[in-house]
Amino acid sequence: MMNLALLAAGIVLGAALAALRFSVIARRLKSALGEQTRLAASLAERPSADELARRLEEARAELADAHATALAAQASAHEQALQAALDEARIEGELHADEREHDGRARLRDLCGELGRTHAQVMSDIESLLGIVMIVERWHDELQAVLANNGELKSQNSEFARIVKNVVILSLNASIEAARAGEHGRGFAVVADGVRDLAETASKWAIDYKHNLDKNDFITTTTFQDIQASGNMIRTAILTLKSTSERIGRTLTTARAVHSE
Amino acid sequence: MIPPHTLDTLEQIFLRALRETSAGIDAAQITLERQTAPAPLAQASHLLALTLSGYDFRIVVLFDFAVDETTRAFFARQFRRRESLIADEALPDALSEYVNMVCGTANRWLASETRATGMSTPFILQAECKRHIERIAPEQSLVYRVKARDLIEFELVLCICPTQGATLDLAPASVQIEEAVGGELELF
Repeated sequence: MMNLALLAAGIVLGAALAALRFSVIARRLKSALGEQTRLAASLAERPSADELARRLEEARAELADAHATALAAQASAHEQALQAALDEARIEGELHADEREHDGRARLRDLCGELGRTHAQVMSDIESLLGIVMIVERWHDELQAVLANNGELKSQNSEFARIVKNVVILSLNASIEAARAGEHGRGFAVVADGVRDLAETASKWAIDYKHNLDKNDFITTTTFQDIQASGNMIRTAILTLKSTSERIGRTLTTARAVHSE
Repeated sequence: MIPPHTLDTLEQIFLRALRETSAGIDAAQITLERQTAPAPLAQASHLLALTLSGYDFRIVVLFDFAVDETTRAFFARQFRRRESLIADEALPDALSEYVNMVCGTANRWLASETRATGMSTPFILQAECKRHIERIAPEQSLVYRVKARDLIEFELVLCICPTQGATLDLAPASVQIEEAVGGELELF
């Protein structure tokens, strides 16, 4: 009996447990069924693929519009920021440019002043150098004096040579007369011969002296011509320098005029 | 020092100057005949000297003109005188003017080569002075007989004297006898 009771209890307990278990399982199944039912219901309520595509397209369009709007707003903001930065930079640049211009003008003014003083000195020096023209003219006059003096020496030498030539002729005549006089003219002939020898020697020296005067003329003339030509060359160089200096002066005047504007 | 091409250049310069200066003559008819030495002294002649100077050289230019009817007729034509023969007393001035023009033209080209040259005025010397060329110690002397058909004939001597140690280098390419040089008025 006991065993049957226990068995019955066991069976009842087992049944109860089974029932409990079955209840749990049933509840689970019921829950799952309910879930499935709800899912089935929701699936039944879901739109079609075309509808979904349409809605997706609409969503994409909305998203694109929103994105474009956001980008435009961002670009506009950037542009405004950039413009603001540019304006600020321009203002700052203008301020700096004004300062630099002011400094530049002051520096230009100083340089113009310094250059002007130097230019004035150069012009003064050039005018002094042009005095070389007067020096060359003086040299030319001195050359003329030297050559004129040479001319006088030649004239005197020519006269001397003429006199000597006449002495030679006279001495020849004297020799002839002495020969005619015979024995009495012998002493006179000796004197005449001596005079003729001296005259011929003097004539030779006169010729040599003429050659030396010609040589002197040539050397003196070419030397003074070299001085004259060199003086002209230097004068030309100075005039070129003066012309360049005058151009510098005109440029300086223009620079001062621009500076004053 | 004087390189050989400098002598050629100087010859070209003076030939061109003579051709450009001599009025009324076909340029090709004016020639330079190189001589070995100056000619013996003529019976009557005018010797004109003129100097071209640079920083490191000088060139003494001598013109020896015979005093005869040919010379007087030539220069009467050159300076468009009414008379057929220029008078003896006017001849020295005419010769001086001619020499001045020839050398002035030559000096212009010389200046383009050497950067700076100057020219003296011409001076008439006695013909015997030609014997003493060696006294100015030229490194080279070029002697020419200048002929213009049968119209004129005279002697031209170039005495080239570079400064001690200097080289007178005149490039031949820049002075070609066929080229026309752009002229500029120069007071020489």
